Amino acid sequence: MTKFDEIYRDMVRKIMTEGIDELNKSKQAGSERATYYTRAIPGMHFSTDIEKDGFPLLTLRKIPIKAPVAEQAWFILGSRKPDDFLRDYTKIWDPFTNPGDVVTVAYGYRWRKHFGRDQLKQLIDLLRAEPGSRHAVIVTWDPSQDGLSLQKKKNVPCPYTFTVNIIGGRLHLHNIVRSNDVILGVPFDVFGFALLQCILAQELGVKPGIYSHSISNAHIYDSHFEAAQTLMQRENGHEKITLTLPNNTLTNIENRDFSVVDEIIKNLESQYNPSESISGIKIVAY
Amino acid sequence: MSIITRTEIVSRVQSGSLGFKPSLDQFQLHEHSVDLRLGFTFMIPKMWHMTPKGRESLDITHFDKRNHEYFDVIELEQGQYFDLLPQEYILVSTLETVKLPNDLMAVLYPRSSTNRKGLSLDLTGIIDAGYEGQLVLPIRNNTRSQTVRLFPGERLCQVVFEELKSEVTPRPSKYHQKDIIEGVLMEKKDEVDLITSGDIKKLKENYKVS
Repeated sequence: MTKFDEIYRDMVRKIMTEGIDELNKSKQAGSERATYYTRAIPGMHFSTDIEKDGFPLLTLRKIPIKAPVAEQAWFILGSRKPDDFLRDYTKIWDPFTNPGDVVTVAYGYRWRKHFGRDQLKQLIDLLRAEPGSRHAVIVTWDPSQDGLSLQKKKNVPCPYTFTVNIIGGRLHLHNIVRSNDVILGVPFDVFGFALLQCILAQELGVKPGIYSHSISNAHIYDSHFEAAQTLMQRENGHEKITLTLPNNTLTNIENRDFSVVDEIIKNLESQYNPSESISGIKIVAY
Repeated sequence: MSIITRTEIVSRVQSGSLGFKPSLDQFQLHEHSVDLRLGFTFMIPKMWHMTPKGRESLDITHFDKRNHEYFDVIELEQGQYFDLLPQEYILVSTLETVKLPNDLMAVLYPRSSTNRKGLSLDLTGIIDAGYEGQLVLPIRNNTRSQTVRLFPGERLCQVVFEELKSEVTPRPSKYHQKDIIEGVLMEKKDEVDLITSGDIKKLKENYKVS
């Protein structure tokens, strides 16, 4: 088991044993959630050291590697349209497009274009010039239109802000997530943002350090309880996973050289011998 | 050159030579033209922005920088509309991504009902053979006091397709397959350098049509 497997199993166990059951009363048109219970814990947090404990890729069940790698590259491009190369790798964002085939809250678009500032580029420029800065904050949430409304959108950002700090010569990323489906969402989001952390560290010429993940509403859907029980019992002898990035990953992605995406996938897949996948766990909208 | 008609449009769509995404519906297809629908993206030109120095006006030199920051981009959700204010000028796009083959070009016109509402749809004009992408349409509300409510999906403009006398080998335009929110993209550097230095004579000498 990897360090992240242990952290993850503890999270699942804590929610299953100490979580509070809630019937969701969402009136979202077409939402199935009204018929779902969630078991939730407010304010869950974990940190893992990527350099020492390895890349946080869940091995307790098999998760798709292609999708989060491609998704992160799509974020870095600042794109809003899944048709822009993402669909060649994964269709995960397809349910969240408007009729113009645009993901209106696409995270990378929010980071790089939506607010009239390229937050990602400015973060890199800032930390290059002032590695000790504590102002490297990227916000995905647009208070002028996201949340706080009875008028529901198809999607609003779950990981809605993150900060990057260089401390002790290593780059640390703290991801703040308003709501996380622990069975499907957490392994995926942790993977994606840890990858971003590694890419930013490479770009800034430092090693990746601590990845931190804070969730306001950490929950497990009742339809995932069985999977959660299975995961709580699981153990394996998986070795530490060390991500080796191709040179100049960020620039190559920005230049639309997607061979780096394939190389990252290959690098991780070659080390990945997970326990068997758990079938039948589906994403619950909202 | 001749303009292709309904039968030919349909058969080209069926063979994949001419593409529309999302696909055409029966309201759009006419005897010798195709109506295109309004998309969900609205780009409102900004006049100023904050810089470390303070509030600065945005100059509109498109030669030397990426300028998606010149626009406030509004992407509507399904069911939302957009009020275009009197005298307001914005950029919108077609809902459809069009794909042209190498032996057709297209010409874009406003629909007459668009004009009748008091809107002017500046003629973006020619859609090159081989182009693939959404079409960007500058639109202005010419009325003095009427707000015009725009609904994504409404039919806004029309295109006619003209057959070229011979097939061409188009170079992809800088807007080919680009998201329209990229705004006005930069021209080729060689040309820009000569234009900004005013050396049109040299431009003409060095870049003769052969």
